[in-house]
Amino acid sequence: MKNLLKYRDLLWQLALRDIKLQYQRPFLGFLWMLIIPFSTAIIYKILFSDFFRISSKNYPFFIHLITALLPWNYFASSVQRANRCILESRNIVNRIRVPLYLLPAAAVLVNLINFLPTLIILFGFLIGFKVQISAMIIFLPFVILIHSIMTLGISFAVAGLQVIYRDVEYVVQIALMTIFFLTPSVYTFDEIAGRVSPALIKIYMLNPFTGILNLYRAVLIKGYVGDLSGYGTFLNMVINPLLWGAVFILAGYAIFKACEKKFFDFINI
Amino acid sequence: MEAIRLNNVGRKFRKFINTEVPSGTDDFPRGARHADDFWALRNVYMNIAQKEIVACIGRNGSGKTTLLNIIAGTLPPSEGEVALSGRVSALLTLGAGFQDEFTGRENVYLNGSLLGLSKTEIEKRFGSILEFSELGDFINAPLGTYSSGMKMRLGFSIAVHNDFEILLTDEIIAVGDMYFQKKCFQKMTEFKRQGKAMLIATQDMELVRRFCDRAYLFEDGQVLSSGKAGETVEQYEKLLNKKKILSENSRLKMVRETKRWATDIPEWGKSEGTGEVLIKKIACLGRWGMETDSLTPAQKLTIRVYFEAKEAIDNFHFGVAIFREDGVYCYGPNTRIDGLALNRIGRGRGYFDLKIKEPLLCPGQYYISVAVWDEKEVFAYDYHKGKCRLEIKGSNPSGQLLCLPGSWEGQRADLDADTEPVNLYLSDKWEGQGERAGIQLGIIRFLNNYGSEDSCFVTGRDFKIKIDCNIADTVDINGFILWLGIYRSDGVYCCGKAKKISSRGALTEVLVFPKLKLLPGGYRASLCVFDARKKALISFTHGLAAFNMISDKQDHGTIYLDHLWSWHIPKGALS
Repeated sequence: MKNLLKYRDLLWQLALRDIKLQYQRPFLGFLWMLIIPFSTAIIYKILFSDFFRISSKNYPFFIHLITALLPWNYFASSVQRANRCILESRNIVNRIRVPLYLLPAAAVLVNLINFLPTLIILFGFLIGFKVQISAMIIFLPFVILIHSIMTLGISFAVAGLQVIYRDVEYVVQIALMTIFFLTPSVYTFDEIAGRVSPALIKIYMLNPFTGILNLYRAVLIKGYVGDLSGYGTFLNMVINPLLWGAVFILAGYAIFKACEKKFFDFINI
Repeated sequence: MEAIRLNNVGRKFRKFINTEVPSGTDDFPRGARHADDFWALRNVYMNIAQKEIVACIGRNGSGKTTLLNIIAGTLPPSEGEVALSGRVSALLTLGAGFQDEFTGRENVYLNGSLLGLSKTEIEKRFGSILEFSELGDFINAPLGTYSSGMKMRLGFSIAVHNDFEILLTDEIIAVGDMYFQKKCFQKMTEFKRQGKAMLIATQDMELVRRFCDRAYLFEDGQVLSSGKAGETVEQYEKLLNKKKILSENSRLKMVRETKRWATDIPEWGKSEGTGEVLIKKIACLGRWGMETDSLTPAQKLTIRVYFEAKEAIDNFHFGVAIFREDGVYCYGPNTRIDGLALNRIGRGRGYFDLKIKEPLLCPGQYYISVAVWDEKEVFAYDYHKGKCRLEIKGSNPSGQLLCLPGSWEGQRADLDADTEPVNLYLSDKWEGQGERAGIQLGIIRFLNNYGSEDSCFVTGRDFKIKIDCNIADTVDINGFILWLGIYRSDGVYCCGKAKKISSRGALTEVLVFPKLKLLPGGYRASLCVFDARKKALISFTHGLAAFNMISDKQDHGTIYLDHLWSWHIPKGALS
């Protein structure tokens, strides 16, 4: 990891490659990165808010949705891209000596680059819906940093494991879906807190993505912490994601390094 | 100065064999779970000086490309170490990371940064890359529209514009048309003038003869021979024409005996030498690097020798020899035979290690001699004879020398040691009583790695012994053991394998030794049928079948042990 600085040109070139491949040919180009999450949000809005009558109290449900979907999209597409990145870059892995951790790192970087502009649109909506923005907004970069570290760690792990165990791809799909529905994204936290025993809620709060999601909302929406019926403690909100971040990045990198030794036996079959 | 040094480099691959899955099951290759290890390259020692141009030749699949990939760093070695001084440019596989969707220009930047160039460096060289590749306007067209020749030319141009001190190439000088080839060759000559070290894998023997200083001939993942380019090419041509490098008669002439006995047992415990370097201490390191004087047979062994150089000396080498307590020479490698150049030693203290992953020695007492020699092994700076004692723990009633990895075809585990016929009561005389009490022992046949019968074998290849015997239906075979032993031609018992006899009638048994590493010389095989209950020998032939081992390895002793040298020598100016 020490030589990350040395390879920043290469990391940038790899990320640039992916971005170009994504947006060079389609007519709408980069716009797709904005269209997809917001159109998903509109569908969920119609489904959950208008049909199922789920509502968030102090701010529009649409804001509730996009504050979840944008970070989620960043996380999920990073992991999915990282999952394939080694196998898809056979013509690099087989041919040249580069630190291979750069490939999953580039996959995360690409999605970070995709993610940041959508935040600007998000601010547009926040202002448009007249949502009171929390003063904690200054901590937003830190939240993105913790989120990115967490994402990077998991990306390392799945990128390495996929080469050796090709089942990982399917496990990842199921895991992503499970984690997504175990976060207060398409529903509100009240819905869960009112119906489930407190012990289960404690476990629910352990979900790393619940922590990150709450952090995003806490720094964006004023008064969100108050909506968490007493579960918005410092431990749940800050320590939990920080710890998960540290665990993921260390374990993920270790897993990647362990798998890397076996790559050449598996990558071409 | 050396540019490339390889120290016992090997690369193991998993050979996935899709075993037959009964029809009707899914297509998922379950058989892939049963993987065999397959050594694509093994025991390669190599030393390439700066400004030297060396060729790797050999048939397809002989390990050339694997070797270049290991040196280039794209493939990590499974064992051994690679030391490089200087940056490497590998023209092995051009165009890493090329994307068909991108233009030539974009690909230059991508490929360049993969090769380790920064953006500004690429910008500076872009003009000359474009000029060399002769792509002209096409540089702004998507790579997907290029012909394969154009892609290769672009890849080659970027690669040769990289900074490097060591160049590796693999058959790629044959890129493009005659004109471009000529240009490539000019570029190579230019590199030669600039004094870059080059390692070339090629089938173009004319190129090797004209252009290279030295050559290594590879066969079956091992270095078969090395030397002046012209001579090695001649050997390769012989190999190509005959498959076997020499006819059987001339190979028999190649059989030479290694040193097989210690000649200086009375002097054990003493030392001699001219004294420029003094050996301070010899230590055997076992598990966790702890000093020890006893090991179990499967444990890896490191012999570490501490020394002090009183004066700075030039051109020397280290040697180690392992003897059994009765003087049988087990193994004696030295760094000169392994081709490791040790140029200079400064004044001061240092040590060297000989690491042996699998000491195949059977339980017993062993003595170790170590020496620091001059260049030609004429005199020793210091030579400690049999000063270090090593015990391999365990019981070894039959006095076997080696625990060779071998097994009966169709059987997994070896029999327990106590079912093995103790010393067999076989005399020093090679004789036999092959037919007795209804048991008839047939001839012993030796098969080489191609599966054909032979009497002369190359060290380090698969080796099989095929035995026929016939047991009459009237014989009670309960407790009968079939045993096969390999002896050195001077009567030292090397290794024996036993198997229970489970059926009567005509039997054919095959004993497989994967990669038999006995060192050159004559060997004999003995066969017997033994009654384990009565501890009685029924029928035997002792040493009537003989075979020879040949090798280009100069190592002394009986068995070649995979080893790795490493050292920490004081650096200092030559006084």
